[in-house]
Amino acid sequence: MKTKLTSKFLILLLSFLVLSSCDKFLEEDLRDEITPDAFFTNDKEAELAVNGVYRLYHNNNLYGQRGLDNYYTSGADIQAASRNVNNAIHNYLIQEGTADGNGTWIQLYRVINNTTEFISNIEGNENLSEDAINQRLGELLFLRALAYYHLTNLWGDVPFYTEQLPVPERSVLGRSPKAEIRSAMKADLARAFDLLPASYSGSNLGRASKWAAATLKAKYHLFDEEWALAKAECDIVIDQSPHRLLDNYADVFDQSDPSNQYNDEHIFVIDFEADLVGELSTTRTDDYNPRIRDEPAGRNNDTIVDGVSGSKVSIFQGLLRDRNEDMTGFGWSVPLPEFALRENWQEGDLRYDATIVSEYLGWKLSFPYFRKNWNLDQENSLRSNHPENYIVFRLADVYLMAAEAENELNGPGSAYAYVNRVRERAFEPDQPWAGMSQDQFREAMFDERRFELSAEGHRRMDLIRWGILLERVQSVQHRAWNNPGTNIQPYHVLLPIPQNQLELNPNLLESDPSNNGYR
Amino acid sequence: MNLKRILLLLLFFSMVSLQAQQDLTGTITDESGQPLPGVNVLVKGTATGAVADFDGNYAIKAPEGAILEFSYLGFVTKSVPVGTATTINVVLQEDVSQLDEVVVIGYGTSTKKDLVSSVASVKSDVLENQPVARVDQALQGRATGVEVTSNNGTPGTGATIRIRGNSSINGNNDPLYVIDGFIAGTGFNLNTINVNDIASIEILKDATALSIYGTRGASGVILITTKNGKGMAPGKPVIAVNHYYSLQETANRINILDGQDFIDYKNESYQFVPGPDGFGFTDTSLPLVFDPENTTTTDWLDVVEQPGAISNTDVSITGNSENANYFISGNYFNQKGLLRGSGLERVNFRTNLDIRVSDRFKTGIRANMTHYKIENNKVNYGNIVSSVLPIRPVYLEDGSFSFENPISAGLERNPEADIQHRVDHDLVTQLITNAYVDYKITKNLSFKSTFGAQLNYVKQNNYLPGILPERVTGGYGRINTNFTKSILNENTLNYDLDLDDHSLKVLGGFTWQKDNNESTFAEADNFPNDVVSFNNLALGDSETATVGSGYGQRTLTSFLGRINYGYKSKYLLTLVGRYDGSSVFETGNKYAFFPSIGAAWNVDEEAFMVDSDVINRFKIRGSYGIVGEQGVAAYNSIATYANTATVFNGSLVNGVLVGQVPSSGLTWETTKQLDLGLELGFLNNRISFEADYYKKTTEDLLLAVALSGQVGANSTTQLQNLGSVQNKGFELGLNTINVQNDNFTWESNLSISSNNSEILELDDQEFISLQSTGNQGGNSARLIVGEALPTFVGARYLGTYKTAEEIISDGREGRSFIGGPRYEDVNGDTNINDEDFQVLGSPIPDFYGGFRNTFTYKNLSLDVFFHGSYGAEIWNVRTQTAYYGRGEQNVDPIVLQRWIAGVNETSDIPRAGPSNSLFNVNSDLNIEDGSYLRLKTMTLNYDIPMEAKGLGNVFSAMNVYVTGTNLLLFSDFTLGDPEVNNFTAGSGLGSVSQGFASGQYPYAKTITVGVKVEF
Repeated sequence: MKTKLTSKFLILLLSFLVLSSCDKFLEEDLRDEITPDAFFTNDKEAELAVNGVYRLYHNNNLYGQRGLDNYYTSGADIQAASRNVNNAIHNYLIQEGTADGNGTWIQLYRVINNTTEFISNIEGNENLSEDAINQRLGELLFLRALAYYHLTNLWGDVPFYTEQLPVPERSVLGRSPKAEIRSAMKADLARAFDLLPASYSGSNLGRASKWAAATLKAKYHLFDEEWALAKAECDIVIDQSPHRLLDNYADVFDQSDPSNQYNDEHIFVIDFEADLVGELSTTRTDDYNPRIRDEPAGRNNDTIVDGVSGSKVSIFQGLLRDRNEDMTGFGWSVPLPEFALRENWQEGDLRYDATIVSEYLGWKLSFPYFRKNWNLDQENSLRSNHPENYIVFRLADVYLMAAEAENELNGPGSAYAYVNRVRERAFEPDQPWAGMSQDQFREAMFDERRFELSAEGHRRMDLIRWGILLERVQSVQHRAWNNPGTNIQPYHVLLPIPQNQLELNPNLLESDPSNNGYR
Repeated sequence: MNLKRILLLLLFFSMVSLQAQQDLTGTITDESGQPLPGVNVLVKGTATGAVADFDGNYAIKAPEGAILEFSYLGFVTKSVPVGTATTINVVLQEDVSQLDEVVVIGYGTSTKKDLVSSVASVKSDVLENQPVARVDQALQGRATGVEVTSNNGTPGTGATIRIRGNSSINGNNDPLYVIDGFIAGTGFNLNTINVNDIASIEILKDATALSIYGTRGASGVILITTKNGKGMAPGKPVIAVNHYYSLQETANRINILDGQDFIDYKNESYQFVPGPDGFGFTDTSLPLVFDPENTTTTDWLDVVEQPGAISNTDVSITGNSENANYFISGNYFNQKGLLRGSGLERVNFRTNLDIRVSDRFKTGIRANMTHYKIENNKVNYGNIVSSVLPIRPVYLEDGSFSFENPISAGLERNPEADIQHRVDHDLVTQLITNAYVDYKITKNLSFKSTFGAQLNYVKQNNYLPGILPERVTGGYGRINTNFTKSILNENTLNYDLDLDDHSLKVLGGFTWQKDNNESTFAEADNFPNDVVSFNNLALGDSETATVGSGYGQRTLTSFLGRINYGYKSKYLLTLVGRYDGSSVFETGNKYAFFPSIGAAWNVDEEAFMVDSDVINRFKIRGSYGIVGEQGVAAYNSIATYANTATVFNGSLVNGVLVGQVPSSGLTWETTKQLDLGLELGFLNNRISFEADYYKKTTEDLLLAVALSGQVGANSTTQLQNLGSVQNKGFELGLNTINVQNDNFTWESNLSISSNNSEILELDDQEFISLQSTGNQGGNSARLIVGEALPTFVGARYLGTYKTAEEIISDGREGRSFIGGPRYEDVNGDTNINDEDFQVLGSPIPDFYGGFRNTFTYKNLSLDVFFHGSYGAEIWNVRTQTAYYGRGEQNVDPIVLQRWIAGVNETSDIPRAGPSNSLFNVNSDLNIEDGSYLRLKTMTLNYDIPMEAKGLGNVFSAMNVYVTGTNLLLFSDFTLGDPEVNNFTAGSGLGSVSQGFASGQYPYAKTITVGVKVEF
């Protein structure tokens, strides 16, 4: 009887003990992740948040691979693939659901959501020093303005928010007018300019400086044809910044030493590094690198070099390997025939050889390539694992923008000085511009920007803002497998809101049921 | 059989003693220690006999050396030799064949007759001595309603088990494993259980059986019960040694294209141009990319494959004494895989012990310790099949490993080098133990408390040595460790009441369980040499070194109860309920209740049938109830910042980003299940039949609802409770004893199951995309309202274009070519894309099952087992990439039948041409019939008659056996074995995305020879 009572008592006791602690027992115990309510308590944390946003720009849908290049570099009059690949882009088969930029859209809104969340947490945060608040706010404002720049360039009107909205609200926003978005971003950039430092060094190289903010603001104004404002921003960069044009055009793009990729002309770059996991190395270079399958010309023909006989490809590849080089790329981005021909460039343009390569080590190549963007080095720049930075803004572009804005504003008179600064190093002997009408200057600029800035992510937006995209795409010669001229339509100056996004948020069709003309 | 031999052995020893009449007394009890009144005791070969009294006591006279025979209705007759002892206590074992099978259920056992629910039971005899490391592979086709699909042939790789279909989309579809009462979870590692330690496996299928497991029962429960010494003859233990050895070779090898065919195809494809009229042309003036006269062929499958082997040894000691019984075993298992460098080596020790401390107090423990090492595949079989080019040599002329893709010149791993040098293995140590105390408070009431723990430690070692040809920057090492701990305490009260016509069993209990895991990893790159490998990561380049760690926890508390009521064994009623609380849900949603009700009618007990000579069993049963599924990740309702990293001026720096979008108001998935069953037995169970019909509806499905991109979240989805899915099906089991006479027996056992799933609702979404197969093709499996789960979709392939007119009429000038593929343009917009996708099939079979025949002639027995599946479709991922695959990869031999101008213009296999998104659309061109019938195992066993061979004094029993596994396959599938899937274990969309074949690690054809000896 005693044991019976004891055991009954024990059962009761046990049950009570467990019951009373049940709710506590069932609490979630999260130990290995940071939660927002315990963050932004010191300057270091603010820095971590900003660093995360830079990471987003490395994504393959933006600067990492050909995400933005698909819409900024391809589909214009300079380059296309060496075969029938990526043909939705190269043949203007863009439609809802096909090459509609869905991944780029998603990634840009990641930037917007993260910057917005972080800005609201940093602004006025008493745990942070004033310096930290200024620096981090400046960077975040710039990074967000860069995202809206791309969104409004590619789609025009887009959903717009700069405050933290709850998920259910954020997910159903319709499109806001492009002008409203851009004017807010210009104001943000003015603020960023005031907050950001003038220069960085060491392990901060790669962060946005005030000159990056000014250059982006200049672009906003230029695209909106606010010539005076554009010119003013360009002048600030040209006159006040430590950036300068390098003496030698080819040096601007020389990234062969991975530990020394920055130079004075770079205003803002996305910094890639080989051997790092995720998207921190780039595959963009592979698009510019040849495939050995294509090279050299007549590759299977036998030949004899220095007494060694064999197929051309085997001897050529042997020579490359002796230099620790190889052709391991994709060949997805090669110059179109017209652009690759020397006679289509102005006589004496030194930029040609820095830009185009059609012969290598004395061997004729099947295709021309962009020398400024390729890298055959098999030690530091391997296939799918390249360290080359994406040069987003550089000073020569700012000079040309200033020239263009000044010409639109006051005619060529004061504009020559800007363009001729760029042409100075491009020609030996100098071939400065002079004596042009405003129209002549404008049209000459169409070509000048092509030769100076090819394959740098400017061309297609330039053609669009000048209103000559259709005409140029239809008139330029394409290779046999591409025929974009017959497919391109006036509405192709914008992308359709991606099909996937329309499915998830039908409100995106409210303000424009035609979806930028695609329906 | 074995028992008899022991007795004969004892007899042999006793022959020397004198024969004189002695007075013998003793007590006869059943296995639970209850005295058995009325047992007949007979001195064998004489007329001397006695009957046990009400307390099971008997008294008899017999000479030393005589044999006492104890017989009792419903129990196995037992013979005991008379020795010098004058007290002979006997435990009689219930005769399962005569009475009723005992079935293990959640928190208890039941006789088959009293069972109200649908439970499949698989006994050890069908599991033993199959050459597999894991029991799931041995379960295939053995139980109705249980679909077992092997994932691939990698040693130690599990099969995917689906009990009555997929009932969840984002949640979990794997069954819950309960090992000797310990709830080991859905992801339990079956590599840690020795198949030959298992006494029985019960699979719980209907609501009455499952709702006692509440939130974890919706995908079915598998109860594994290991052996013990209960029912053994008391006294001398049995020592058993079992050894088998298996030889394995690849079954159903995949064909791959040789170098010449590859080059011819590629050259033709590179000469393809739209041509002057734009309808496709082979321009032979274009230079050939490959020299057709100068090809080398490497058969990469030959390079990586080897004959496999398995060596398995079990040693066990089983014993039973008055107050204790035990089963102690050790196992060594060693498998050499079919791919060079892969394998599994395991040691396993088990101790099962039950002690009767007093009449009221029992205690015991189940403890199992395992350590194994898996040598992971050093090469990816699918890559060998579809990617590595046949024109690439293994070695370069200078004897070094080849290192590049001959087309792209990209650095590529060399399979031979990987096999020789790569380090990639997992070390797993697991301890699982469950101890109990059982106290009988009164005659009818008992209390049981169990305390169990599962400790699991996994270390994964990886090292890519600098000697590998693609490692231009030196070696790379990585280690991962993961420690998981699960603690379970269960406390139950049992009340049993047997009145004349009424029987009542009541179970009530409280349990709590806490699981947590701690993980770490570290990696480093650019090792200057390969001396230390992963053993000292500090020798890697410190700039490349990264580390990480993690912690996770989930807790669960439950109240459970069950009432069984029976009236005259005719009418049975069961009520079950479990009230679960789980940490993974938000406050307010943490608790839920899962009730069920079941009833059965044993018609054969009715007066009108009880005397029937034909029908000896006739039972109708039904059940209905609700079971839950909590297959969501912990912490899903908590907003987080996720860590990331970026680069400034070439240096890596840390960063954070907004993490997951937290769920809000999430709750359990609930499955309502109706089950109707019929059990029939004829001619004293020479024919027995069991059929079940069920209908399960799962609601509040956990769906990862896509968020619009403008939300800007890092995760593109948020978990919500939306949608519902239904599974209906039937299960048939038929056992027949076709021939039974003194020398020869033939038994058959047929099981057939069918499950139909249908998605009833998916929020407002028409469909959810599951899986993409091509590099440009979009998703080829979807969840579609009104269709099966999952469903293949794609364009309808109409063959190749034969004329320009066809292209013009389709409006596809310049985009399609003669000899190229033609697809049905459903919406007539001349584009072939997602909008033209149609339902093309489903990987869910119409039915599947097994057919076992056992023939016994004297001491020889033959067991032949077929397993089959009918009506499933398979997506051949390889042919999809074969036609227009990446120029740098191999293609499928089916291209040999391609359309060639002037040569083979009637072919519907597309011409060689450029890679093109228009060509690469998902289509039924890649869907094949996955039906198959397999001779899964065939075993020939011979019980050596020990006495006849004069070995009776050494061994009590010995048998030898030969087993063939996977001997024959009947199937039309073209890419190796049709038993394919690419289920991803656990939760997430992967758990319903299945039926894609891309050439997985092959299955083995195995011949096993074994011997089992008992002392």
